[in-house]
Amino acid sequence: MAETSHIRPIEDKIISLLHQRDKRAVELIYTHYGGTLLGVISRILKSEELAEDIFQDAMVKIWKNAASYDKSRGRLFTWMINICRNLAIDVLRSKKFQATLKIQNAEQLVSSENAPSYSFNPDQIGLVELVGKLKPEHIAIIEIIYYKGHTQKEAAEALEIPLGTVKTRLRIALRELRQLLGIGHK
Amino acid sequence: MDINNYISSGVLELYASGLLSPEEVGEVEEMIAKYPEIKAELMAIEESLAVHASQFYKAPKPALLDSIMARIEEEEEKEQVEVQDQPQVQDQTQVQDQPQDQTQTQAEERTTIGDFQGKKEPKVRKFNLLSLMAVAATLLLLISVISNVVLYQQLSETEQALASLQDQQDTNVKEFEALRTNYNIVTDTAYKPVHIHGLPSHENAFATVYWNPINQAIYLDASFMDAPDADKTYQLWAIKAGQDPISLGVFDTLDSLQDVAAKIGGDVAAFAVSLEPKGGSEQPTDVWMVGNVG
Repeated sequence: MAETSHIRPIEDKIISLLHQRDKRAVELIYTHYGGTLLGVISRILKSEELAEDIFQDAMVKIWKNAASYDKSRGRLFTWMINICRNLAIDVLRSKKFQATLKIQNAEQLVSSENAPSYSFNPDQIGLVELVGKLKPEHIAIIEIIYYKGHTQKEAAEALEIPLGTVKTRLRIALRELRQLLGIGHK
Repeated sequence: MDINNYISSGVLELYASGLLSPEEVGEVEEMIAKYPEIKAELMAIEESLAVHASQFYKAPKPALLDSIMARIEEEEEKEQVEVQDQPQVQDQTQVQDQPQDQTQTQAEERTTIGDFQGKKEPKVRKFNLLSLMAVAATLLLLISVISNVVLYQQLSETEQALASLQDQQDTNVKEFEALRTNYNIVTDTAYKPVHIHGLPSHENAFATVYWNPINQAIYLDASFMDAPDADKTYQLWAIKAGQDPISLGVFDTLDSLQDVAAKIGGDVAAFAVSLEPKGGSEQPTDVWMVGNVG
């Protein structure tokens, strides 16, 4: 609880503005979290133009559905990331997008290492290095579940591991990540 | 329920990754609400995923914010059109205040506003029609009132004119009757015209008496005589042989033949007119004219 309930003034400010239906909330979200939200979408869709479109959709959806955010269930940031993730994964899994993918170079898509190059925020470079310390199998399971929108079954097939192992490996990967990041001592 | 077992089962990680069925999601949310430790664990998982996501940071183009704000404005427009049927001037103003560089979005907004106004248009038209009808009715009423006033005035004028004409007609009839009477008398051979001429000092004075010896009726025509002085009057006399002049009455000016009511019997030798003090005299004092009966 200590970690998750520590005060985040900007997030409280945004929540307060959202409740007041004050559009400055959207500007604050854009300024403070827009980079990560767009980053998540870009990571999933691997198309800058499409990611920007979905990012706009996500921001509008955040504004429209702000009333459904429940502070007691978690951080606004997490809630927003999940909206972006879900929208992007819906697009990723849509037939239209799949059809578009087939026209493109298949090799680029198969390899998870071929993610587009991003203009990193200098603050994030340390984080990338930190995450890079995870075992490759843990990086892969987070990537494939979280940024490819694979189901457990699809993940099991893609990684060529038993179905039951997916859940265990994800659990371990996230525990390792938490330890690296120093989140939630257990 | 062993909380530690639940936490280590990996279900919270699947929940955080969105890989659970709606039924499983419901179960996890029940557990979160019941057990603070489970909630803390989930939040730690989500936090680490959020931080993990931060490594993909990609600064969005500033233009995206404008576009997002424009779309949010648009959404609100739609909501307000749907929720409340009343147009709000303020919202349209907000739309106009938006950045100008989002051409496509602006165009969409214009479409939205167009649709928005399109929805309103029948009402506006209805209102305009009512206004138009009200204005028309007012104008018609005004025209009616003016017409009534004008017509009433014209009616009054017409009635006055009619009354005037009727008066004129009455006058004409009377004059005609008088002239007919005069004519009848003048042309009636029963009446003897007696011309009364002025004496040497009043040579221009002239009058005529029409006398009917049978019924004794006498008419006087003095229309050619000037009016007497204010304190004087003319007096008509009948003169019989061997008698004093008999007064037949006084007159000032006569427009037409005057019925002299007095009756005189027997032979009349002459008629005379004298100038007398106002009111007349017993006997003539200043005889101006004399006419002998032929």
